[in-house]
Amino acid sequence: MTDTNTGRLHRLRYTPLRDLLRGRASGRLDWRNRIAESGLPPAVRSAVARIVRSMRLSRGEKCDVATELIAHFADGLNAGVDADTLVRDFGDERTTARLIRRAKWRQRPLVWQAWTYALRAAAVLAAIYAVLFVRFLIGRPAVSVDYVARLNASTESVAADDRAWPLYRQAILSLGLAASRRDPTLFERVNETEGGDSGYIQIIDATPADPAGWRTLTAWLDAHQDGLAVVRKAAARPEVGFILGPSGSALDPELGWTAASTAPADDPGGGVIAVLVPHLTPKRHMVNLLTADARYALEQNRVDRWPDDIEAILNMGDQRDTPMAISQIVAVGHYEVAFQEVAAVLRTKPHLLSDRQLIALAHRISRVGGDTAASLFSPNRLAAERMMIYDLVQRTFTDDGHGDGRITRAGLQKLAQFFGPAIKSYRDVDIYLPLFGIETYDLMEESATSLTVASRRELLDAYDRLMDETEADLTVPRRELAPDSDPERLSRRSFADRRHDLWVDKKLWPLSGLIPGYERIAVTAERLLGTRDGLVVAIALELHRRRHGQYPATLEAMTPTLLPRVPLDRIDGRPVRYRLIDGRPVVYSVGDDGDDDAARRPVDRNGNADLYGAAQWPGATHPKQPVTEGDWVLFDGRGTNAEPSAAP
Amino acid sequence: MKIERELMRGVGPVAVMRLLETGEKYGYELVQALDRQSGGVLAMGQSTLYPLLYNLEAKGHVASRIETADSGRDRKYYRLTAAGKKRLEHDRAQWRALSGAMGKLGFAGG
Repeated sequence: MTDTNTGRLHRLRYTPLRDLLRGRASGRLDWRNRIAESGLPPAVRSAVARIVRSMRLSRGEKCDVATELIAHFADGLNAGVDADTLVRDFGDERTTARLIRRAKWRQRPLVWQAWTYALRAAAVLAAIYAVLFVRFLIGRPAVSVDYVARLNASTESVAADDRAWPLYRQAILSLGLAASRRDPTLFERVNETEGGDSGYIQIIDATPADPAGWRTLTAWLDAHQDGLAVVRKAAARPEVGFILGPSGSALDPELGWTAASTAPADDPGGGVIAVLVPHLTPKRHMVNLLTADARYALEQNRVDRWPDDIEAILNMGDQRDTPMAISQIVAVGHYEVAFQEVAAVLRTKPHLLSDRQLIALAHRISRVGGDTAASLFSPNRLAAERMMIYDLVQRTFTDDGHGDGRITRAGLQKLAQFFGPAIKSYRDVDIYLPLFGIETYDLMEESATSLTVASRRELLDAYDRLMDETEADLTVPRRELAPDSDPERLSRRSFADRRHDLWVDKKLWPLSGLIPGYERIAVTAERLLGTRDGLVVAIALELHRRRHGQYPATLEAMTPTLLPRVPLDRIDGRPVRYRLIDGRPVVYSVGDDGDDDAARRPVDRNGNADLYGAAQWPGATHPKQPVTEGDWVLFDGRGTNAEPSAAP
Repeated sequence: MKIERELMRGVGPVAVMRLLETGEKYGYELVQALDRQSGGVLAMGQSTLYPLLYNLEAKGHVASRIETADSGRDRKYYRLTAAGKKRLEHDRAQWRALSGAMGKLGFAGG
């Protein structure tokens, strides 16, 4: 440390810029030379050098401190203290260096200090991110519950004789509805691009007015009565009995179903969300064929077969199928088909049905559903909807063994697949990178995105809360959830509000795209129940006309003899409206606008009467839904081919 | 008697500012003055003095200047600034109150 370095380059290195600009290679920042040339004893010089070196300050600051310490020790020596004592009394060198460094930092400009703190904060954040990144990379979902098996358990607990699927399957094959063996008579005009058995049966709508089409249809029906009998028999069983999953009923090469699910059991895309329900389409076809057969039976005056067909269709609606919203929506569709057929007969050929048949029909129709949507869409019949989310979460989140966990990389990618490009519209962090035309994920962004997803527990708690509230709403008539109804219910949020909450809470974004459309389910159920009420009233009106020779002045006049009570309007809660128009009865609801428009239906954009245009519930589905003018006609007795005569 | 470190941390800056109140001083001079005028009680470790001075300087309570001594060596002199004087008055009042309070509690010299 005693050696001095006076080389030109060395001096330049330790010359401040200001001196260099003045053309002077002063080398005055060379604190080592300064200590070496201080003339202090070697022990003191070494001590000063050690302190200055370990301070980690700028050259200028080191020079300042070195100068001060040199003066300090020189003053001590001048005061007669020996070098060793001075060094010993000075104190711990490391502590001194650290304290001086901190003090000197405090002397530095605010900008430097702000920058330093910013750098430190960035370093801390980078460290946290690194930890989270590793945590994200090593996170793996753990599939611990076989929800598909759980869903199948209730089906498999049903006695084999109560399961309809084996009979349906037999009927599908014999009626030529299987994708692999389609009957060309039924599907000849189906657009092949639709593929499989999803096509519409073209001959179904044939009527006697179209002799050629009617001949084709009736010939086909005559040739397939055995198959239709099997359908009726199957419909009488309480459970469909369709087994879900890769090795379930959906894997049936004979029916043309070759891939029930290709996802491995532990794949995020596997499980409940991947199960297929291909049987719903042939079921709809069978309902359509039963409807055609019912019309054919009436044309043949086979009034014994018509009720059997209607009963079978209603039974197919009652039948417990896979507990999914889609299955129940299809079941409601079966009821609708039956109701339309009954309404058509009441409108055009009521004379073909006896009083006894009409009364039996009224009782049977009354048994469809209850007073609220929950009677058609009960939690029991929607069990798969929740399990689908639970299953998806266990396939996309880690599991800490206590019901909590975090999103995994595979899970994030799977969720993004469900959301598609729309993910950008409500996500703060882009995870889609269009690269060479391919939607590519960037690992870094994914790990950052994982921070924007709620924990497993938060997500499931929010989901359960939403579903509990929504299912509770299904137990209440829609009209009671309208914003202008009971003030006590004003605090209840609509489904749309709840869904909106999910969009507001960014961390719950995975849920916002996975919630089933329960608002549509509720409206679908309300419309069916309203139509049911209209039909029951219409049957009572026909019976009244037969007994009294004319329709009643009011619906109340039929109670309780022909009608236990006048059904309530599902929109305003008052008795449904009734009036005679052109001598024919019309039963209706006041509709969305709450006004009696004399059974005038709203008109759609094409100028046609809109059957369900006024069947809306303000605020129940969308807070700002515009009000539709007009009435919701539940039963319209006006029609052609009416032959009002006494029943046999 | 050696004062506890934590206690000295509060006392040190006030003591140094008090010494500088009478005029500017350099480092070793302050070390000696503290030792002498406090009867050795406030003889702070020499290594502690310089960080203390730099901190006071960072706060604007003291200012410094370099002067070349007769020996030809550069020496740094510290003086109290206006802000330092204000701070010292504030600290002095506090010390009086504290000393009085301690005296009332039975500590001698209060």
